[in-house]
Amino acid sequence: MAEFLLELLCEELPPWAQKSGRRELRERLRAALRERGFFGKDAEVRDFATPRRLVVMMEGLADAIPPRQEHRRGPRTNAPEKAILGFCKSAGVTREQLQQEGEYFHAVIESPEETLAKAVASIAPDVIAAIPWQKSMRWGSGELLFARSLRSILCMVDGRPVEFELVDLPDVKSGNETKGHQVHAPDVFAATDFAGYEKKLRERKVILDSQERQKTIERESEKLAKEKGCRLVTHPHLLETTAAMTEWPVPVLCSIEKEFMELPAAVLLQVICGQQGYFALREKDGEALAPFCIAVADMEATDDGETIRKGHERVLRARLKDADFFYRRDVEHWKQAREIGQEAFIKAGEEELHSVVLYEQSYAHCTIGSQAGNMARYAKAMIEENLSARALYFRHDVDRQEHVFTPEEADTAARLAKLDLLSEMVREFPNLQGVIGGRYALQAGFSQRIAAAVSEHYRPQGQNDSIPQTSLGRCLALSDKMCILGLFWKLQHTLRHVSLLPRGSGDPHGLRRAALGVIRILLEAKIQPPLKIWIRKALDMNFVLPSQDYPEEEYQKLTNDLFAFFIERLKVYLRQREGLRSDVVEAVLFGSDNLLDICRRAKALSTCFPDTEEGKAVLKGYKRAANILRDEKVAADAPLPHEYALQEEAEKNLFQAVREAEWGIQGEEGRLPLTSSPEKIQEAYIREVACCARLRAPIDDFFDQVRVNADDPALRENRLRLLRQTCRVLESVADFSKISDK
Amino acid sequence: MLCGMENAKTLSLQDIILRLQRYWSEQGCALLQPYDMEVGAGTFHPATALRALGPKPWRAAYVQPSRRPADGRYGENPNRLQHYYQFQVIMKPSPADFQELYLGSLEVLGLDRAVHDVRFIEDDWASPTLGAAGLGWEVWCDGMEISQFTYFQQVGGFACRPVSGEITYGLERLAMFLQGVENVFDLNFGGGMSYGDVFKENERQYSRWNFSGDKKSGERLQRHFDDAEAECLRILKLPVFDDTSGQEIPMAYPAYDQCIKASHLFNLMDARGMISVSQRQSYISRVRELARGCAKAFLKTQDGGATAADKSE
Repeated sequence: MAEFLLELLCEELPPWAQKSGRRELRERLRAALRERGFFGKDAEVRDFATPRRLVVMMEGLADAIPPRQEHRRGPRTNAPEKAILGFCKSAGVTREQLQQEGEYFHAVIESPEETLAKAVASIAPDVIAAIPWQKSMRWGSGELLFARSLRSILCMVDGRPVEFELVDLPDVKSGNETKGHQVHAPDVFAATDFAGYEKKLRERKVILDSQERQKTIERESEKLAKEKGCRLVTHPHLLETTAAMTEWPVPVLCSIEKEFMELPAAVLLQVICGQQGYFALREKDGEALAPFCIAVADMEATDDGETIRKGHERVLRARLKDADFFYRRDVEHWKQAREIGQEAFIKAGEEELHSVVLYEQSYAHCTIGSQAGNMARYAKAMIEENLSARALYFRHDVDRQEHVFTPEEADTAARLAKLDLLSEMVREFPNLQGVIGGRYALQAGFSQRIAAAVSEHYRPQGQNDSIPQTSLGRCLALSDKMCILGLFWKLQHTLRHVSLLPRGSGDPHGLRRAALGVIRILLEAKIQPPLKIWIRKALDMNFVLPSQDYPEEEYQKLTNDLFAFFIERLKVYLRQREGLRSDVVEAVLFGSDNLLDICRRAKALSTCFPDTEEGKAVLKGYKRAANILRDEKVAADAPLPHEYALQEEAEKNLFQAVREAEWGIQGEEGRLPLTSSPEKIQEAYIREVACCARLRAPIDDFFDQVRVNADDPALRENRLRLLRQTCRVLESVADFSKISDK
Repeated sequence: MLCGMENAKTLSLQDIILRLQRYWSEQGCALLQPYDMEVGAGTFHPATALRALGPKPWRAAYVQPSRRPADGRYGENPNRLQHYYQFQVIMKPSPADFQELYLGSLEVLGLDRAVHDVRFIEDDWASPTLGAAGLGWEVWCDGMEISQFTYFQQVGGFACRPVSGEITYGLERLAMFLQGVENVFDLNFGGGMSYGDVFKENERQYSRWNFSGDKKSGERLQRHFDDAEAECLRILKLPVFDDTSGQEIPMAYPAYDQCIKASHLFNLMDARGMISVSQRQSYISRVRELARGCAKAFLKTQDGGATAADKSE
């Protein structure tokens, strides 16, 4: 059994390139060696990456593949000479060596024994050149495309170097040499086997394994934090990035000057973690940030990191000074609201927002100002239109007094929500939009409730972000997203020559995210609006073309389009989040626009369909019945079967079972209203699905024992009606024709 | 070799320039002088923007005063200037040890790598107005960005073969780091003068001018832009054969001057807030078209590596 080691030494590879590079290198080498028979079931592969190297190691490979003989059939004997010569060339034989068998030429290809080293030498150059990169470059006079300059190649089989060249990079030849850490051990050294290689690298201040580097960073940082009596704010993404940017990570504790600690935590975190890539620390008790942070250096400095620490502190001071300057300027501005009055303050801001462009293309001109205005009208309408509806939309919040808000508050909050886009802070740190606006709103004297709503109206911003916590925040977030969606749908309808809506992996205006945000808020906050009406309202909001209004049919079409977009997003969301199959969701749509209800039904249906045994059987029975009904052209509204005309035991049983299922599905008091408690509704749906599942045995028995195609036409008719009724009852729970039984 | 910060602290801005010039001259670069036109960055110097094209080897280093009208802060911001210096190095083809050469230049400036953490952080570069792009890094020293390091992939829409390596040192930033100064105007410029002594008044005056201007002067800028564009296009359209000298002389350099001029005028209009978002796009693509034309013309010149056979095409 043999070991194979390949290291590509590069100039600093960005983290994304390390991730994809090591994966592609591993997969492609494995596939190529497997195809040639070297990578068998005992073989194992590992891959590593540092900022300067991509490494793949395999063990348990075959040492050599014994000699083989292959008979290959070539062209017909009467084929043109050109084709015959072409075949000779591809098979590596001469014209004379061809053998004639029947009407065809044959070549006998002798492959001598192939050693692993030889195979590697012929495979590796192509694999290296074929790694796909999201972005790649050339350098010097070479033709090779790679993520960054490839400086040298270490290639070993069982401790012995394997030599090869890359066609597109003639200056680099593989061998047994590599280098250590750029500062600590820049000299060339020779490697042997993997264990020796890893050990020599460690002596030369390179930790090969990125997981180990992450652990080192976390452990050492926690130690530093503890020394100061603080807690490390762990940050998986930052940990991954810092590990991908170091070969020998050394955390360095830096101090933050007291004066900056008065800045809002969001701002501090933005500068410390977002901008500079440092780890933040919190005080031992509570959530307050501590006046320290940790930078990760990529070396052991001879002065114990003093110089490095001072350098980072200086940069941080300059950055925080900027942030502090912006913050003070902004607060001063927002405090004007206390003097000139809140309404006047908002009006002045609105004026300015009308010159901030949201989207501009030929004659379409949309500003943030118009979006904010739409949002305000939308939010107000949502609440005002029907106060009893409000109880439905935000039912679970209005129980608590602090969540009750008035249409006027919604209006104020919406008009205030985008004003922070004018602030210096957001111009510098776009990520702070919303959060900082909430903070400024408080400074300007707006109520806690309005400030909170402003602060969370962009949420949820990612998978891990939660939806707004306050009722007014939800109202604002929904309005914002619905208006954006409405705007772009209408724009797209008008500007046919540009592509605004999401396509493939492109979503330039974040519309999928907006729709997903709406879906999550509706589902998680259990809000059940008539979505189609809401969509229509959003389309009405945006006056892209005031001079030329659309006819009603166009509006209907746009509404349906946008609604279909929501349903598509809902399917994706439920598949990713709940593991629900798209066809299961499809089966419970029933043209409803109540997403929460669709979601509950889909969940209930998936308790049984399509994967349980009963589910599979009932589904099969349904499909069989539906096929018969289709072939026999039985009308959907065919009358009920006559009980007296039932003959066989099995059909009597099915009749009875279907009747019981129908009663069970109806429930004792009929179907529950949507305002019932969520648990009760979910229970009812699960019960309905269970009623369907109970039909399994009667349906199976019916098909086993009853001949639908009876000679007596009346009997046949009655049996078809029984099948129709069975399907009808099943379909009242879900459209089983949509579910795939594959 | 020079070691330790003590030495570096005594380096004035002009010492830094002198040492960089000596170092890169030793690496075989032609020491050029600043280009005599207003540009936004050292990359715009034809020694980089045009010479990066074509097959001929090329090595140059130079200081380039760079103007970014919108960054003016009346000399009141300790970190921002509307006029500053870049030190630019370009080597074609990029040598295999380009990174090491760069690190060597830091040591010449007295930066001790035993105590400083120098890192190459992914930062790809693109200039939409030049139609140029490259992959590379910004170089951080102890968390502070001190240089930009780029492998040129295309200019004016044309692929660069061989590839040039470009290093840009932000001289003020680097000097502030080396001297341990927090306000750019406190830098030791050299000759017993501070940076403020030399440039503070310039910053005040230009900041005022960059941001001021009535409708009429705005229209004038626009006209200048149109003129530069028209002249550039005119030059590019002329036949390569020159009747006066009886030679083939394609004029990439003179055309490119007009392209730079248009680019700077665009920056000025931008600083004055005269340009809306959609107009912006259109201005950028107008300049890019000029850059593309100049690049195309350059590839037909001797400097661009054209042979007699290419020209007859």
